[in-house]
This record gives sequence, C-alpha cells and structure tokens, in this order.
Amino acid sequence: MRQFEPSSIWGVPAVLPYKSLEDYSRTRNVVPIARQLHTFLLEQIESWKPDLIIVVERKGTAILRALTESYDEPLKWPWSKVISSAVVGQMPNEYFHNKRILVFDDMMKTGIHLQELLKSFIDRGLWKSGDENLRVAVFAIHEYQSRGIPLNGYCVPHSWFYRDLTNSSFQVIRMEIIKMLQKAGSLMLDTEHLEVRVRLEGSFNKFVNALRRKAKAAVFHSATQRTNVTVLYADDEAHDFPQHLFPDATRFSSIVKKCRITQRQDDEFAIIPICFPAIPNSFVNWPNDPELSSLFGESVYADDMSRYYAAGLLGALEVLRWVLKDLAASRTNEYTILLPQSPDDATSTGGYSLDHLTVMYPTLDLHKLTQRILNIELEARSEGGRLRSKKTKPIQYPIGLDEDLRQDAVRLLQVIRHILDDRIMEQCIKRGEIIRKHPFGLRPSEIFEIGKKFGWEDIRISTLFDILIDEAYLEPHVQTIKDRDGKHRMIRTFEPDGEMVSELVRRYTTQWGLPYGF
Amino acid sequence: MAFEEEAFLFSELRMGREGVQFERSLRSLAFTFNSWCGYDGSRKPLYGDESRKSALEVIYFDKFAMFLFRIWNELFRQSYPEALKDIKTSVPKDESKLITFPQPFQEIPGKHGRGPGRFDAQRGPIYLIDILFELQRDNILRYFDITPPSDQPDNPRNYRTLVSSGILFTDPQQFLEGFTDLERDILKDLANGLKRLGPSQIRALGTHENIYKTIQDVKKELIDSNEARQEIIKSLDNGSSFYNPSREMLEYAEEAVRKSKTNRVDYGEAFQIIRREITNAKIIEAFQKSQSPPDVIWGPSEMDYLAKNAEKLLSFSKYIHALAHYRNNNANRTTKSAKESKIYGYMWEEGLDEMARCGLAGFPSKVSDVFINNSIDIQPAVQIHLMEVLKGVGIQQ
Repeated sequence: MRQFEPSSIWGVPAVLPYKSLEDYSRTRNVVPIARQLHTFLLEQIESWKPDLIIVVERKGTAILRALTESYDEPLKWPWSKVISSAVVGQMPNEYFHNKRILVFDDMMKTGIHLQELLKSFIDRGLWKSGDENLRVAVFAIHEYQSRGIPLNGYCVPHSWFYRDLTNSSFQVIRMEIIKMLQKAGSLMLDTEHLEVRVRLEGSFNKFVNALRRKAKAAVFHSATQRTNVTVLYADDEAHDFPQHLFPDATRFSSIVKKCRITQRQDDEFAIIPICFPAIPNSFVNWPNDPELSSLFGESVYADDMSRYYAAGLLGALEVLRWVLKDLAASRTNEYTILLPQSPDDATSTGGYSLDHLTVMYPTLDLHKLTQRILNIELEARSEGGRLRSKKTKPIQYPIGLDEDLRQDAVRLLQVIRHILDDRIMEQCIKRGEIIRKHPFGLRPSEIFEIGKKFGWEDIRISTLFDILIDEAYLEPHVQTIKDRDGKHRMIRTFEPDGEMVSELVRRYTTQWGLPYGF
Repeated sequence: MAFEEEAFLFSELRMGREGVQFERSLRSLAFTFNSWCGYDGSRKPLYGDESRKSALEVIYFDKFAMFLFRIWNELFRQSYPEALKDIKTSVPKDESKLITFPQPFQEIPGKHGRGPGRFDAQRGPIYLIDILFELQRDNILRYFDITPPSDQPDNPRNYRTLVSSGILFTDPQQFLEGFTDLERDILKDLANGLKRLGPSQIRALGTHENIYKTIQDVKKELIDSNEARQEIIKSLDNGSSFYNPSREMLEYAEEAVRKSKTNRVDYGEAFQIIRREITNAKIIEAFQKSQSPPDVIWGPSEMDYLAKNAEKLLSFSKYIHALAHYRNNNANRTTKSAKESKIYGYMWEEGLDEMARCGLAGFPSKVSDVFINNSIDIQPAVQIHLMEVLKGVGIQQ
C-alpha cells in the first residue's frame, strides 16, 4: 500500500478495508462472500420453502446466476422458479396465487426498489395484511434502514445476513460482491442477454480481426484480467433491422447496438449481443405475428417493460446474426461456435443453456429460441461463406492501454454525474425543491456526445461503457423520453450506480477537478 | 487462470484531502479579496458611487470568486499530470512548483447563470455565499464579513447583501502558510491584478469566459423568460394581474442584454487591466486559455442576433411591466411626483423609445390610451397587439 505523509496536501489514499486477500484474512476471520451468499440463500430456501424466488434487479439476478452456475457447490434451484422484479408486472395475478414467494435482494440502503416491488404486490391484492405468503430476504442492509421498512403490518426485510452496516462496511461488501461477479464472468451474467459461446482453436487476433470485418472492435481486460472485446455496429444499411418484427414507430438509430465478447475459460468466450431498439411507450401496432407470440408468449404485450425487453431480445438476435456472419466470412476456421443446449436436446455440445433467460422472459419458449439461434447460425454461416471471396480490410482502431481506458472511464463517469447533478439543480431552482426522479440517466447519444468532446472514437466510448458497467459503476435503466419527433419512446439510459458510487464520483471531482472542457 | 487483485477505479481518491482543499480555497479567496478591499488606488466605480469601495455586493463578490477559481483551476490543470505521476509513482515530488489542488467549489446553476457552490444530494445547490454565511454564524473560518440587508438579515443571497474582508493580517507569508511557493506567487500576482478592477469589471470578467458559454447563457435567459411570457399571455387572456410575471420577464431580459451586449465594455476593460498588471507567466498562460478576448466573444454574428433579440425583449418588457404597474395602480397613471410612479414613468418612456428602435410599433404612448375609461381593463386592440408581440419575442426552446 502506498504511504503518504498525513499532513501532505495529497492526503492519505482512501483505503478500502479490503485491499488484498492477505489483508482481508489477517484482519477478519473471513469466509468468501460467495459462500456467505450461498449459505444465506440456502437457509432461506430450506427454511421458507418458497415456490418462487423474485430477484430484485440488477445484481440480485447476477448473484443467483453466479451461485447456480459458477460456484463450487452450485445452488440447486431451477430457473423456472425464478422471476425478475422487472417483469413482475407482466405476469397475471394467477401466476402468483397459492405460491410461497421469496423476494431476494443483495443490498439495501434506501430500499426504494424493494418498496416499489412490494407496493405493486399490495396494489394488486397479492399481499394483504396478515398474509404469510411472502418473505423478503436481503443479504446486507445499510444502517440507513436499520429499522426496516414498515409495510402491510410487517417490517421488511424479514431476514438478512448483515445489518446496520456503516457506509464503509456497506461499500466493502458491495465491492466483494462485484469482485465475486467479475470472477464469475462479469455482470453480463445478468439475465437480460442471450449468449452464444465460441471456442478458439487458433489466434485470438485473427478472431478479433474477423469481428472487425464490418464493425469496430476493441480489446480490453477487465479488473480480473479477463479478456473482453467490445464490438460496435454503425447505423448503416448492413446493420439494419427487419422492421416488420418490431412495433410501429420503433427507432433503430442512436440506440445500443453492440456485442460484448467476454472470456469464460482460457479459450472459451461468450458472445453476448446487446441491442435495445427505442420502442413507443404506448401500445401501438405490434404486428400480431404468431411466431413472435409463440416465442415470447402473449404476456409479452402485457406492459411497456415486457415489450421493451422483448424488442431487445429480437434486436439481439439480429446482432448475433451480424457477428456470426462476420466470423463465417473470415478466412479463419480457428474457432468453433458452441450452440446452447435446447431444453429437450441432450446432444448439444455447447455445455450450457439459456434457461436463465426465463427470469427476465418468464413465458419465453426456450426451445423455439434455441432453434431460432441455430437457424441464425446456419444462415450466417451460409451468407458468411459466400462473402469469403470478398477481400475486406479489418477496421483497425487502436484503443490504447487498459490503464488509459480506466482513466478515461473515470472521466466519463465524472462528466455523466456532473451533467445529471446539473439537471437536478436546474429542476430544483425552477421548482424550489429537490425532486429525485427514478430512473434518471443520460441517453446513449448524450454519452457519446460527451465522448466526442473528449476526442474519443465511438468504439472507445462503447468500451468505456462496458468497463463502467462491469465494475458496477454505471447502471442501465429503462426510461420513457420524448424523442425529437415528439413521440414518447422507451430507451436505455445510464447513470452512476446508486448513491454510494455517485458520492465517490463527486468526491473524486472535488479532489481532482472536472475534466478539461466541462 | 490466475486473477490479479482488482484495480479500484478511483485509486487516486485521498482521505482528508477535501478538508484541506476547502480551507485553502477560502484562504486563497480571502487573501485576494482582502487585497481588493484594502486598495486605495483608482478603479472604475459602480454607478459613480465610491462609498462602497471596500465592500462588494454579493453578486459582484460571487463573480470575483468565479474568476479566481477559474484561473486557479486552469493552473491546477497545468500541474495535474505532474500531480498524478507523483501519486502513481509514490515518489514525493517537489511540491513547491505545483498547484496542488483544484478549487472544491464548482460552477453550479443559478437563476441567472452559474456561480460557485456545491451540490448536496439531499438539499440541492448550495452557493458559496450560503456556505460562508453559515461559517460566519458558527464563527468558523471567519475570513469574510457578510452583511445581509436589515429587512432580510438571514438571507445572504439578497442582492443588497454586502461582503467585505473579515481578516486583518500584516504578514502575507504567514497568512499563506501551507501553500506552495508557486501558489503563493500566484495569489500575490492575482491579488495585484484583481484589486484594480471595479465591481462592474469584476462582474463581467467572472461572468464571461468564452463565446460558447456566453451564447448558452444568453439563450438560457431568453428561454427561461418563456414561462413568464406564457403567464403574461394567460393573465391578459383572463383579465388578471400580470405584474409578477412581467417583472420576471424584465429580469431575464435585462440579464440577456447585459450578457449579450453591455458587458462587453467592462469585460474589455478588465481584460486589458489583467493583461497589463499580471506578470506571472503561468497566470498569463492560464488567463489566455480560460478567458477569450472580447471580440471573440461578442464579435460573431450569432451573438449579434441574440443581442438584438434580447434588446427587443427588454424594450417590450419595460413597457409591459410599467403597464402592469399602472393596471394595478390607477392613481399613479397621472401622478408623476411619487418616487414609484417616477420609476415606472421612466420605464414606460424608455420602453417606448427602445421599442421604436427595435421596430416594435403600434403601442399607445399615453397610459390613459391603454385602459378603458381608466379602469383595469385594457383596450381590446391593445391587448391583441400585446399578445401578438408576446408570442413572437424572445426565442423558443
């Protein structure tokens, strides 16, 4: 640990109580956080015997996935009995009737997400005073809510592992959880995104160059030294969408349209396509396509959030097509696409499944989805094969050192927080009081504008997004905004992840100033 | 696969740094401001009034701080790469040649432009003057004497609040203990330059820095006036008083004109004085980087366009605000002797003159011609014309 004179203007490094495994084990008799989470959840499951677990977004989902897939003693719990808090509104009341429900959240400070969820249950008559059908379990609770939240005659949460945590202890546990998730393969473990795996049999550089056939791609290493690739697609003809599949008036430009490729094992990578078209927030004509209805189930039309995520999954399938086509068009055969296991197919060699997607898409037909992916792979292979004779030069974008990227990520986060704080203050000045809207973030286009002011290329900006999201400094939201054409659409927005991170950023800005030009 | 220990994204964060920063920031401001307050030489007075030579009204004090902080932050940026290298290599460098901290007070939004302050996640914006007033009340770090007006003793933000130096020191070296050699030199040179500026010059120099921000500021005044404009239209429509929204609109218009046009003179003068008086090469470089010359800010046609817009809005605002007053005060329509009616009389005349210059014609020049039989009701033709103009002045978002 670097030491400075306490009297120096530079100050003493803001020491995290957890600096190294050595320090950690010396100062506390410590059980790894994964084990603690596992013990906590297992105890809830065994004592409460729930029929359904509702995970509170966003880390709740990722934790469950890490414990069921990556942990040494996997938690045995079927994905079919898990649903995300984000899609509770999609499910009819009958879905929850006669079920013992466990609501799981990793951490709670103000409890705003939890309260929103529980209030929706109360409003729907799913949890009445005196009912014993619902239990709330939060792993770590900040002292801010040490008395719990009174709701429906109960004080929630009902159970916890840590309580009355000070700011620094809360921060420590948060960092430990994030580190655990990163070791398990980053926060992309959350269940919004489909993934297809690829095994490299040859050169990684050739693999990346293949991705660069018609896209920009940048390589970086996560905090846990996993190799990652950010692939960014332009708003051009080659990367357009079959509009008939999406609701009328969906916007496809200036949206999140990329692919994350993240290392799982030494030579195995996950291809995670990410795409969120901006869909209108009212139920305008979404083609009553029987194929779509059978893929997602009718309930996908139930509310805005469900439609938004369904459109996202459809968009991601198109991005997947582009990635696989580019790989197929490359002159290298030094990789193998490993397709996911279908629920009724034991012959797949992929060794993984997409069952976790049912958390976010509870009525998703996994078999149909897997079949769709298989078809896309076949089509992409065929199209790509025909393109092999065409020579293309990979689009090279040297991205620089990881250290520089991380420094730029900090700067970007500073400016994002600064702009959001400015907007809060402007509203406060206008209305005479501070109004904290939730969600409240910047659009992707606004963040890209910030990046351009720094003089960064789009691909660099997109990579910085990934670094910040992976380290849980930036949180994505879904927000309804008024678009330039006057229509209200649901889009992705981003803001620093919670008040803890926001305060960290503000302190950093105080100590080191805002980046030049802002 | 081996995993290395995670790298904390904010590894440059330091504990205990902010406290030192705040104290030194206030001391740097106190030092330079003290020099200004104690200066006996000639400088441009405010409205010819020499009586407040050793104190500034809060708006001017704010801009004094803005300018100081801006230059300081630019100087820090020059030192920043060295500072960062120092932290990463953990080899203490020769700090005497560095600016060791940025100003912890940031530019935060205010009603008429940005000012120094802090954002509190629970309370919203907290301005520098609020912080200093609180410190004064708690008798902590009493570097300034803040005197709000007697009718609002707890409101330091009132425009009539006076700020003077709260410190007395004979040895600058001792007062600036803890600052590096370079920081002390910078402060002394800045103090020497700033003390020669009059209040209006300070205000202009603190308000403006480049064309981009000035255009944004002017546009903001014009756009923010839209709400008041809409209120006036509504009030005219339903026959109610429009005194308050017309005063709001007048306020925004005055600021818009000040920023798009009239500040140019004071800014130009202040610019020359600073360039003449400052000798430190680092300050000169920082000044050139952070303050554009006046013809760069006010030269381009876009600023010209905004200025014309602002002047039109101001001329009309004067007229309609005076009209709003006369609507509410029948007696003052003919009596010119009372102070209040004199003020509104001048406003009325000025509004008419300026509207004529801006091409806004067709309004009655006599107050009596506006109202029906000396009532509060406005002649229909006048009302229609007022509303037409209201819909067209200023700029849309």
